[in-house]
Amino acid sequence: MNKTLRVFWFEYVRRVRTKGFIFAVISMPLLLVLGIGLALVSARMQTNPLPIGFIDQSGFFADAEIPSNGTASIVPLVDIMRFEDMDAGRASLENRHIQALFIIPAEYPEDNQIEAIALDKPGENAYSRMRNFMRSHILTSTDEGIAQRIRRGNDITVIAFDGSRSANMRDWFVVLFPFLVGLLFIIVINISGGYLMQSVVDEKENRTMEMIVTSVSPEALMAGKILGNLSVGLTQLLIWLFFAAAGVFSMQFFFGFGYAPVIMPVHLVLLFGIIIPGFVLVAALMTLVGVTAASLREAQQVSILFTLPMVAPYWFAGAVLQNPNHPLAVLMSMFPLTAVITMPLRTAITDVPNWQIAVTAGMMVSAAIIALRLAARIFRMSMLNYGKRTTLKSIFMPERSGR
Amino acid sequence: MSVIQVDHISKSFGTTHAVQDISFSLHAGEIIGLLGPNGAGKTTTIRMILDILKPDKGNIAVLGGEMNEEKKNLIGYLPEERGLYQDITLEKCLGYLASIKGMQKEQIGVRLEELLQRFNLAEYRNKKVKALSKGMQQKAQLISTFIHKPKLVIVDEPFSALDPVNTKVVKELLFEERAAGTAIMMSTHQMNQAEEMCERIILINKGRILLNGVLEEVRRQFASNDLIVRTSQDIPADIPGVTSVSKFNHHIRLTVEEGLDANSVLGELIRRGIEIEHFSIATPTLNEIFISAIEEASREK
Repeated sequence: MNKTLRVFWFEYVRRVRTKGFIFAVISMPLLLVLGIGLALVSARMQTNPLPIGFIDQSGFFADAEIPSNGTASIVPLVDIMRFEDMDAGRASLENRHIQALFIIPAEYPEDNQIEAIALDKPGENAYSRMRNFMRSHILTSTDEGIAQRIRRGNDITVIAFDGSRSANMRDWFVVLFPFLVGLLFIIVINISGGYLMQSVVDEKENRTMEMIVTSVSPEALMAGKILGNLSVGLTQLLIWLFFAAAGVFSMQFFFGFGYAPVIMPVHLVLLFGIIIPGFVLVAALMTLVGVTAASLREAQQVSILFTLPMVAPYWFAGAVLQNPNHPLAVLMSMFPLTAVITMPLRTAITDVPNWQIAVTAGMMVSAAIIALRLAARIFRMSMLNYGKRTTLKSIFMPERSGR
Repeated sequence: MSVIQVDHISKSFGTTHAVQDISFSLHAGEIIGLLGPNGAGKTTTIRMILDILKPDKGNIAVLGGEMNEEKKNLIGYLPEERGLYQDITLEKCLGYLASIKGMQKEQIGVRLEELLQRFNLAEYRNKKVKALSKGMQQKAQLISTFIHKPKLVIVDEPFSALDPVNTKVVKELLFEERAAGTAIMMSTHQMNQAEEMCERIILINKGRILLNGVLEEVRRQFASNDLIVRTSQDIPADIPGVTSVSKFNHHIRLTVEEGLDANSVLGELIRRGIEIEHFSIATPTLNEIFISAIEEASREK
């Protein structure tokens, strides 16, 4: 195993075995599961297992087929009982054989009004069950195709203001992709960048740096640190994605809803041309901040200079979505620190010219390489400046730095 | 073959000349003392040898040529600024430091066990480094310096923070390594330790070499005409050839005329009935040589 890999493995294992990391990884899905669980329990608590009854005074539902309980659901379905007269219905209600008695008056076909009588507040499932029963019967007289479309709801296609691009709302992944990418990028870079910066500052603060650089070249050390700490962030992300996928799969399997994402070629271009170089760029900048700062606190303060421009596209997200080819949107999608979020945002809503994507990818890769080289140079210059910050003068006048 | 060959190296930081035209060599199986006051240029010299800094002028050959990644695996370094990873266990910390010296996992296990036992740290292997005392951390750092059986060892103040028992353990280790052919460069302010351990010394002041040679030769170079006598009686001041008599630390120092034979003074003392417990020609201590050389250099300037 070469030394870069040894540094990588040490940095990686050192972080992922900490209680803080394990807690951070597990707490998010646990909170999510807990939230969903609480919502389900709350939904269950608002249901009542007793059947519901109805009296049809309008005759509109005379030949309506009473549905069975059907398949299991988060909210249990209740039986529906038909009563021919009011006394029988009231008696059943008083004996608590039913939770609510719905009365469909003679005027229902004209005014769409029905009444409900209950001893206690009926469960939410009582109303939804009655509503669905009535809707199903009304649609029996309608053409089956039309009935299905009404049940399914509308297909909405979002079209860009300039008409260059459209997206069906059912292809939610395409619409959500830029937001997800941005969010994931911010999460990973915050986790990894924080660890990376801490790792560099730690070695300066605890004075291990001098011993380390007599074993490993500064370049190999820096590469190992970047790889190791980026992998920590990616591990956290992968674990969360695994939980998210498991959640989606569970939803599909148990409750029959959820959609499979669609990966388009442009997503791969964005991934390899913009997002990965973006990771490297920010990692190099974080290393640079870590090695030039005198303490972790100072490094964290300075790193805001890079993290703020990264989240800036969210402030302009509305404007970018409304007019994705506005010069500001184009500029932000090509500037290395804002491109990672702005370019996917634009590609979701408009056909970004290929030359713009190519130029951006070229700039991202170049910026990443320049930042890495600069970080390596400054890393070598500043690694032994214990408790001191590196000045701009010493960076650009290396003969004075002595290294 | 020289393990270190330094030829006319110089290094400046801005207008400060940290090292000026320094040359020396270090051979296998030799312990050399790099001495000098604070700010003399010792650490800069060491960092240039280790390729952490590049000299502005001159050449450095380590283990037969320029420094490279393979050679780094053959060097053990104990820097003056000590440091270990505080939030991991001692075993993991030392294991990592050994691994980046190119050692394989199996080798590390065997060698680490041996050194932990030797330095009485075996029972602390699973403790976090930050839970160890300063002395224990110092020993741990020494383990990381020697774990990979280096051919060249550079130690900066190796005995600081060590008690006499552990100082002895470290000395024994250094002597063993020397006997095994390891070249050792020791930078220290503890002159008694350097005196005891080094065959040769290099004294640096303000970036320049003031003294470079075998310790005994240096001593002779700084030898005075004094004689040291220990006796319970007083020594009269009228001994022929003796210019002054002074007491110090249960001893008596006799300053004699240049060229006077010490045996004649000893004979005269016995003839006068003085019971002699100890009689020797005064050789300057390294501490005295150090102070004398630095003061002389300051006067010349």
